[in-house]
Amino acid sequence: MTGIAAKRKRLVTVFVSLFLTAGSLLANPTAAAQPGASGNALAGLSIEELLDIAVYSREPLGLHHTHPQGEWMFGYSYMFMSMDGNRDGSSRRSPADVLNAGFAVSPTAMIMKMHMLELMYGLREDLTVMVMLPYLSISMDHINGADTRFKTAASGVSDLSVTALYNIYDKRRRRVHLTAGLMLPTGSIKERGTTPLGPDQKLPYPMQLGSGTFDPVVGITYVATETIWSWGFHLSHTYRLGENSEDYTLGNRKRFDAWLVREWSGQLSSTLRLSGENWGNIDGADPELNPSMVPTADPARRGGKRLDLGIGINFYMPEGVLSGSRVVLELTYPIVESLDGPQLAKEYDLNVGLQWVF
Amino acid sequence: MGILIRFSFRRLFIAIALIVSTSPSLNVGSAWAAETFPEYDVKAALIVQVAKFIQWPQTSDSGRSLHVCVLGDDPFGPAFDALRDKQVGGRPLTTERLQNLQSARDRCHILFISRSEKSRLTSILAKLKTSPILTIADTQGFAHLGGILNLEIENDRVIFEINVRSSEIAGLRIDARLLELAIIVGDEQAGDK
Ligand SMILES: [Cu+2]
Repeated sequence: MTGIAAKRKRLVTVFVSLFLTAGSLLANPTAAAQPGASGNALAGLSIEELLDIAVYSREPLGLHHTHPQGEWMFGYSYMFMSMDGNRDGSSRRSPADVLNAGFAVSPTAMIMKMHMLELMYGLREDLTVMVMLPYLSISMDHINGADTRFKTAASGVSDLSVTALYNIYDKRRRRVHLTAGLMLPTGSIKERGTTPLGPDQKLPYPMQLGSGTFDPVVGITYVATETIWSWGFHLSHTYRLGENSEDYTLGNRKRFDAWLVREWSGQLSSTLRLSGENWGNIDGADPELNPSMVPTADPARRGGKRLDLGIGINFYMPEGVLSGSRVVLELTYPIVESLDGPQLAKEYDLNVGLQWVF
Repeated sequence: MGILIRFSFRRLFIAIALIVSTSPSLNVGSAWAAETFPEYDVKAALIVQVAKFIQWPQTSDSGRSLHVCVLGDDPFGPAFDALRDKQVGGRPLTTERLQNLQSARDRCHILFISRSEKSRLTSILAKLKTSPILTIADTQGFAHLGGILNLEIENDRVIFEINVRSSEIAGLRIDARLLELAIIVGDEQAGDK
């Protein structure tokens, strides 16, 4: 398929530009060779001059972190996820395969864009609270047996979450914190759109913006920090309480993240992350959806598991337009994926985040 | 339509790549260096400068070198190792990272007590009280608890507090020029006497 080849090419472009950017920053030999290099410039200064220098704190925040008492963090991030083609188990399925399996329609691609606002506050030295508000835009491309292509789209606020992060161990650069959160059903599960069946049709499960249920999330995080390296591990489990107003319950989600951060200078660090996710099928069914119409309307074709590899860079901006902020870029690519399909397969996702700590 | 979405995504990416790569703050070597530095690089440099204004009692000058120690988690990183190339009043600096206090008493002239030791501060300071060691920290309330020098950040700049009484008990003499730059504080319980 030429479409896939073109997308591959774009993906390579993104990778290359990401690393060219990183490379141009690393090209400065003094900064890259030795994180404490500015010490040489500081050595010649008198005590009065040192007291007159503006300083910045450069601790990278890490992928899962907490904040000290009284510290606020405001974050905005943008995620772009592309799904392309179908998979059943771990093998690819063409739209023709899907239609031959008896479905009237096959999805071909999906783009999900998410804007996320995040607020964190250190309530106590060992307790941080976090509120996250996501806004989703989803669009899906389809093809039917008559070779007609059509698109459906939905956008709006997704499920708001409130989380408490509690440090249970914090010694010698090793930290463990527990997380307990609740996702509230603020996202719509009644999104409708125009399909070949007519206008105002209920859109299938992956086009809905929320779960419609109260979803507790529990997790545990371990973070280790050394001078230029830090690494960590995170496990979490999302449960769904009860049934939503459309008579179904999304599957539970289990997730792990393992990551490694390398600090290159006071302002630049890179991250390598491995994430695994496992999510179940839908329990119950929305009576408005016909599961033989399209795989996305079948509650038994929603589950799956995936292993993702993410590469990222983090910048600290001591001045300029984004003064005082941290910029996070991460590109994630699935390395193994197995779906209760046919189901759309993930192609990649790109995350751009800005964080301010004050 | 799919193409349009991709184009806007690419534009966003390119815009961010441009901001990031052209931002003056990221010309890591020189452009910004005159103005802003990592907090702990500045604090490490300050420790060297401060030492120039301290006179240790003759007895504690066991060696020719001046031994600088960090107790607990080292926040300085490479900046701490870089102290080894420095000299204070003709005495070369040596460095050591300590995980417990026992060894500090006989060896260290300067002891930086990390924030990781916050919960043990009172007992650490009680044990060191009469030792001729310049105790330094950047923990709120450190000088009030009897530590000698505490580094704080105010308006993005380092300021420091000195507890003169603590330095006298330790037998250290602090040059008046250093005291002029400091905020002088007393012990927390001083008022109750
Ligand atoms: Cu945060």
